[in-house]
Amino acid sequence: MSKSAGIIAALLAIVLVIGIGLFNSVKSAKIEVDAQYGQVENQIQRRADLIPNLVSTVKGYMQYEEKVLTEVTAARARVAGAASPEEMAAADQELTGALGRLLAVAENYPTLKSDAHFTELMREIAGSENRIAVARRDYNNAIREYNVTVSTFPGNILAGMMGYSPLAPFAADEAAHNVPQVAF
Amino acid sequence: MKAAVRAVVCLVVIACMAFLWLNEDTTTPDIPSAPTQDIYVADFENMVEPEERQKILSIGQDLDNRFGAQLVVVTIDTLNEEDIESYANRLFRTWGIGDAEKNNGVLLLIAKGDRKFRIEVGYGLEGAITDGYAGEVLDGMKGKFRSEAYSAGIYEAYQKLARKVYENYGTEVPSSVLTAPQPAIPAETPPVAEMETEWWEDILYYGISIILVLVVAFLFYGVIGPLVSMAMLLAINIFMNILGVLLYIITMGHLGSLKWQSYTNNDNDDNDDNFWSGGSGGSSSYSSSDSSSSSSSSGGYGGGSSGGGGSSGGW
Repeated sequence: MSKSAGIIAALLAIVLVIGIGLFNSVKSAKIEVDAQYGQVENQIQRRADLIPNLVSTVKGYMQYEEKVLTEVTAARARVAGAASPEEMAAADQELTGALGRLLAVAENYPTLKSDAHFTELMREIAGSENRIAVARRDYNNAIREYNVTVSTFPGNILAGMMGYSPLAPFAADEAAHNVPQVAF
Repeated sequence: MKAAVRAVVCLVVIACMAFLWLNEDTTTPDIPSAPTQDIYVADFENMVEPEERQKILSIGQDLDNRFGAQLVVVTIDTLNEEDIESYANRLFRTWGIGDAEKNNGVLLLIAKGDRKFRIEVGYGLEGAITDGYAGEVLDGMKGKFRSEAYSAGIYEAYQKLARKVYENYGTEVPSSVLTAPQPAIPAETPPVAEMETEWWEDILYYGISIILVLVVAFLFYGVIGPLVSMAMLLAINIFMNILGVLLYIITMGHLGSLKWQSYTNNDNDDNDDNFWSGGSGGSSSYSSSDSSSSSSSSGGYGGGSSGGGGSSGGW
């Protein structure tokens, strides 16, 4: 009698210990995902914050390109207003596109391209885009690890109880992202 | 009957441990292994002359001794079609350039065959070496590289970067960094004694803990029999876990960010969270998680990370 009680106690103990370990691993995977998303947001925000400065610098050189400039400003506003990861990804991609068009137009203004302030800003923006790429890669890696944890046995049992489901990776695909090269 | 139960219990325990160990992955393709000496110049393409090499090494050593900052030059042949940005970031993180807490590493990567270079800056120095400044340094290098004065170009860039690091920490810039032609001055300030455990201490601790566990296990086994002893060990394990949970509650969730000298010594940031996740593995899970990350300490690098700051270019 006492022997079987001991066995049951041992089995219960095993289940409990495994449960605690699992809970921690699921929880820490989720925390990691959230932390990495914060990083993505930060970096996207950082680039967006450079835009007003860029626009005011560029304005002095190209008065007749209002359309490109408003596009960039509008894209920046959308980044600031984004609420969900999906919106953030879309707004960020829009900003990337608008900046690309601005750069293409800037090709026609040699004096602008030789402006020291413009050069500096474009470098900051290029660096910012690379930071976004890195943060996004880290975020997607964290999501992948989290998804493996919550969708494979035995983590899926606990994840179900905790209400955690697999997440979609950050939408913007790697191919769409290209860091504008500043050449002089 | 009894034997069957024992077999099942054994199997369950083994399966648990297998789960813990299967979770490790170490994938770092085509990044050269980190050098173990002269870590500030990993000159795989022989672009740096011996004289400049010595100067760079002494500046690098001084920066490391004073601030834990690591300014590293790496020359490689080719990126194998990869972006220099992502290659530099992978190399930076794999080697762990800079202090793990301060993240104050800087990497000057040169891919000779592809005629591309990049300065990658760790989080901690992004304020001192802005992307704009990194771009300027690369512009200065470009001219030298076009006339194939590789060594001089690298040395000049190294000085410019070192200057910013000194300024960042509010220190007067040594004359060896300001003016080029001067004999290498060895660092005068002795390295600050930090509370860091040596590698042999780790081994010592592991050895002691393994012996301890074995002794306890044998005692239990001999005195009270296998099944009860296992239950006892599990009870101890549970007790430790509950203690961990209590600690977690007491520290209001800050447990993961606390510094555990003997365990998280040279750990990467990523591994800190895993400390309490392996509850059922007992003492063995500590050693397995630590040995996987020991590669960062073997090269003398501090385990720093970078978020992709810096600038790229070509010549």
